[in-house]
Amino acid sequence: MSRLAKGGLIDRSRLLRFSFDARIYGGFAGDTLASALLASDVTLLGRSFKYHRPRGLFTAGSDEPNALVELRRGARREPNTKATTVELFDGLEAESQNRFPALKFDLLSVNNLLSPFLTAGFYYKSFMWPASWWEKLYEPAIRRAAGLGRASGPADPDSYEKAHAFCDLLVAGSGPAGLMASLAAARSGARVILCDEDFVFGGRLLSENYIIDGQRGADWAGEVVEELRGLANVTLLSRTALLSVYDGNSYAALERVSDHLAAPVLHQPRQRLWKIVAKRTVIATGSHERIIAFGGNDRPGVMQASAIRTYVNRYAAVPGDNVGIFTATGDGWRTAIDLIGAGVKIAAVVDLRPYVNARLIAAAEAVGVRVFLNAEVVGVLGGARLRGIEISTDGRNALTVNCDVLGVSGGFNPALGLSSHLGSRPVWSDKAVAFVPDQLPPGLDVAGAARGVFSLAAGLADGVRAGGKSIAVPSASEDSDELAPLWRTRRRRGKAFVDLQNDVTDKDIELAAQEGFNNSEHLKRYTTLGMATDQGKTGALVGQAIMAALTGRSPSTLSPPIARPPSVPVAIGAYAGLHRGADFRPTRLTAGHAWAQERGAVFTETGQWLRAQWFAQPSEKDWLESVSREAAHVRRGVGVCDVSTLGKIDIQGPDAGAFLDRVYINTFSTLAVGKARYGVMLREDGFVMDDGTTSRFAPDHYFMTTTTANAGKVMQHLEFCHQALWPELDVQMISVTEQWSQYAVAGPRARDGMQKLVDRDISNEAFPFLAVADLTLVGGTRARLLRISFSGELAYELAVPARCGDAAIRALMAAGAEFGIAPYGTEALGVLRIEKGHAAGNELNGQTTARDLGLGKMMSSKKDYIGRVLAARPALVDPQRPALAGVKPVDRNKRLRGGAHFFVPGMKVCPENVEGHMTSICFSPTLGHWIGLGLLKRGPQRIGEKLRAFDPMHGEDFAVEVCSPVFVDPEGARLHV
Amino acid sequence: MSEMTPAFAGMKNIGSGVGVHAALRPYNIVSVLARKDQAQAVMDKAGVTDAACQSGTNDVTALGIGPGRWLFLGSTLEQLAPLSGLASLSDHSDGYAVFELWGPKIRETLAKGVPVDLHPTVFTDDVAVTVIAHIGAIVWQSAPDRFSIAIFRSYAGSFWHWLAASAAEFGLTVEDA
Repeated sequence: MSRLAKGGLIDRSRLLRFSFDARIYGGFAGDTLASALLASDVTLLGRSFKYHRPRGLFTAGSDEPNALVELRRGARREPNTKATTVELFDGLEAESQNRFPALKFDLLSVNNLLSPFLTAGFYYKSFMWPASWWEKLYEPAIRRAAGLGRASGPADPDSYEKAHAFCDLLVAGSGPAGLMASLAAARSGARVILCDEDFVFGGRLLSENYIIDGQRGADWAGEVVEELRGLANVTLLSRTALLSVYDGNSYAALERVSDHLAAPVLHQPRQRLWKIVAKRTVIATGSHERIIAFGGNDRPGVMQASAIRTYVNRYAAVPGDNVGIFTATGDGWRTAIDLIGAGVKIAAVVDLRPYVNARLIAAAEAVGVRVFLNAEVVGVLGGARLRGIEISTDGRNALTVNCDVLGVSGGFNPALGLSSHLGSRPVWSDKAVAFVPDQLPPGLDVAGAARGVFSLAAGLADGVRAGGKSIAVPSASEDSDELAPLWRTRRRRGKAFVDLQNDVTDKDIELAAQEGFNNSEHLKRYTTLGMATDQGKTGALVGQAIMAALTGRSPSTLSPPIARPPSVPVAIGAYAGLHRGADFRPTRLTAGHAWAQERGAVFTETGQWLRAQWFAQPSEKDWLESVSREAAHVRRGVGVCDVSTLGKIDIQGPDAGAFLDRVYINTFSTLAVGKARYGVMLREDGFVMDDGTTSRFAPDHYFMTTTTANAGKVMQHLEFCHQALWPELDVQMISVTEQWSQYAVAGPRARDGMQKLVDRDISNEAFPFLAVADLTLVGGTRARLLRISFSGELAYELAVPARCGDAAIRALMAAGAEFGIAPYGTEALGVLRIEKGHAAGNELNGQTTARDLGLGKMMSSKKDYIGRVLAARPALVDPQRPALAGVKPVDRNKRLRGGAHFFVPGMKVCPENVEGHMTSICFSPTLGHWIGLGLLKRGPQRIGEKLRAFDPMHGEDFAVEVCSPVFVDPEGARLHV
Repeated sequence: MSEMTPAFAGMKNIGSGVGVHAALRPYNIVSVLARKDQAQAVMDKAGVTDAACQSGTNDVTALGIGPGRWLFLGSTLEQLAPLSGLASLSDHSDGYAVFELWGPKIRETLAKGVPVDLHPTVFTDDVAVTVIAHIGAIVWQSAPDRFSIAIFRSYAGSFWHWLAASAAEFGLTVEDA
């Protein structure tokens, strides 16, 4: 309503301008959006979720159920932020939510009149049928009606980051207990992290007129914080909420680095997600004053009594001119005393209890306050603003007292969220009249009001206890923690809410009881009690307690709440951190990447690697033309392809050969030094895992290659086999993928250029197919040469140390220039292998056996190997299994499609009649038409048969002919030239 | 054949201030994997310790990266020939990019990616085989308050992206190798 002339923790010399619903207001540094609005007499802040009832501030913290606002505009617009947690800054733009067309005149408030039909379970009951209406009608309508703000649409322009921290003691919350715990540990030299979601440390001390060691509580807190700040072993994190408790003494916290600025400072993140590992942790996050269910308890002006003190004492913002108090606790009286001290008129104190300290009553009546004992507020007057309350004493008829604000004090709920994240069930405390933490996980402690220790003196002492080191407990002013439980009034007029955010009333609880949803988890789902951004911190327990009373149970029999992380809403951006868009995962580049870029490569992702897919030339009209040119060039002349991304593993030791014999289906112990061999390995279940060549460079040194995609998996498999299955083998393995840049040079003219670069004779006689050698390049670089071929042409793979990878590809291009060498990418590589019938990723799909792929003859019968036994299961050796075959269109002009299904002509198109499917296709520049590989029942025996290739995806259906999967050079003569 | 490392071409200064310095440190690196039951023999012969820490002699630093597994920095295959028969050796001089990082804000920067306690009283001659921004990394202190981080070279660009973003608020300066 107004601002006090002095006092409070605001800086009156720093005026901040902000807007709310397009009107300009002023506040001070140190304000929250809520306190600044309150001081500007803005009391209507939102419309409720279901009934669109007018709502104002109910709290002054992160337990706020009502005052959800949209902040900022454009790409930075964010919905659903609690005005009570928004630190005011100059230029802040805020808008109310959930109103149409305007906050003061909301058409959907008709829902309030329809409310008899909108009770708990309404959605379940009404929108069940017909199901087809859900998507088109019900959901959009409900979303509009129950809108909780709008997402920005454009991408978030700000950055987020993660950080790690380690400490001996982590303290969450900087009230009396948190400060003392931090101080006790810090003075002993322990590494301490103190975090608080507020932008000022001090917790409740900032909101109260406490006296500690002769000082004002807020000043005392300031001095403690200064001492902590001066210690090198202490880290203070303000604007940082502890979010989650995880196993292994690890915690997550969110630091709102730049939320209090219009835009982050250059190079600063908007928010920072901390992962903290703490030997011990103290949760000192205080408590939440709870609602009392009475008629009209949601009217703007009805507030927590403790929140009123916060606004008056901390922000010097007075919420009303004429304040009533409805209390079941000493806390309500504290509010009355503070307000009187600040010169605010108190209309009445309504206390549920029949007996209250006579001195309090006398002091109140001395300044004209009307006191009602053994009384309750049964209803309110006013619409968008409270005008008065109806009071019933001793069950008699109501009398009316005018007031524009009502402070409500129904007792306090310890903040239980964090302490229950790992599953610890709180227990009922008759003393605290609330649930309090019970058994806690190792390393986790709770102190102060968060465990039901409510008075100041006890809270300070409890903090010292939790800090683990003995220091003096300061003396504290008197503080009352007496209360009598009051969940709902005996009589009421109008709706009595137990959950303001979800519009749950005591009648909904009654309905749930009637319909049998007694269990607290059922109650929650049926009524939405305790859900959404405030997690029912102020009301859920009241609803649960009413349910207990309705079913004749004591609150202690309730199944107490267990919370899930996070404790406050977190932007997804904070969890993503740096890793979004192109940085979602790291990118791996080969040493030849820059060279490929220069050559106009189009890149494709293979796992994390970027590989050149093809090298487009300006005259080419599409990728197919580029790829056909590259592939044809390899068949006729010579091409070069970067194959550095293949997995490479050094396997060494006296038992290396024996080890390989056990992991491959074929034999490697007999491989001669200086030779390479193609190998296939199975999974334990008998299906093919991966393939590649392995070479032998010394009797105890093999060099394995894997496919790019499976490199990590194969390494893991080999390590498992050695460590878990055969630790007795003397074999060592390590990935050397990154050590070597490797280039495949393929084509009839491959030797011409290569011979110019290497220091030894690589003629067919001196260096035949499958030869490998360590050698030296002209100029002295050590390299490896392997005469292996994926294309079916004369081919070499040259491996050089990766730092020479860029120079090596340039040298290969220069040496091959006179022979017409040209680069080719992964697409042409695919064309060449399909023409040769080599299985690759499309066929090595985890569902194929070596036999399926035509590699059955490689399966040694002279030794055991992984997958041998299970590969012999009946279904895996069934001759009807689809096996690798070639396919070509009968009409050679037709384009084949991967994924087309094969049917015998004349047979009905249905799943039972599928004969197999097309796995890989390409246009073969060698043959001049499309060719394909497929997995076809009895494929190898059906060569020459005509089948239908049916592809409903592309709407195609035409005849194909089964053929050998080897389309080019079936004799393999070209490999041996 | 010349040395060229295009993956590192993106290294440039960012931000103002001198919070963090970064340099690439080319090392000769050899992995030494003890043969069966030979870890003690390797330790005796090379003067190294079989633990997640640094050990070694004057010119050679051995990083313990697993039981009976080390990376020897500053060694070549030829220099380690005396270990043949006791260990399997592989050259990794090209497989890793080693960044040395230092400066007044080095720990604050590393905290944004390294999930390991690098407090000077905790992390001394230790070697951490860990992960930074989803990239496998080996972290050790090459001198007090100077951190070396080895990552597979293909990740250098992505690693630098993380480093630049993390150090930008403190200022990042690239120093000559």
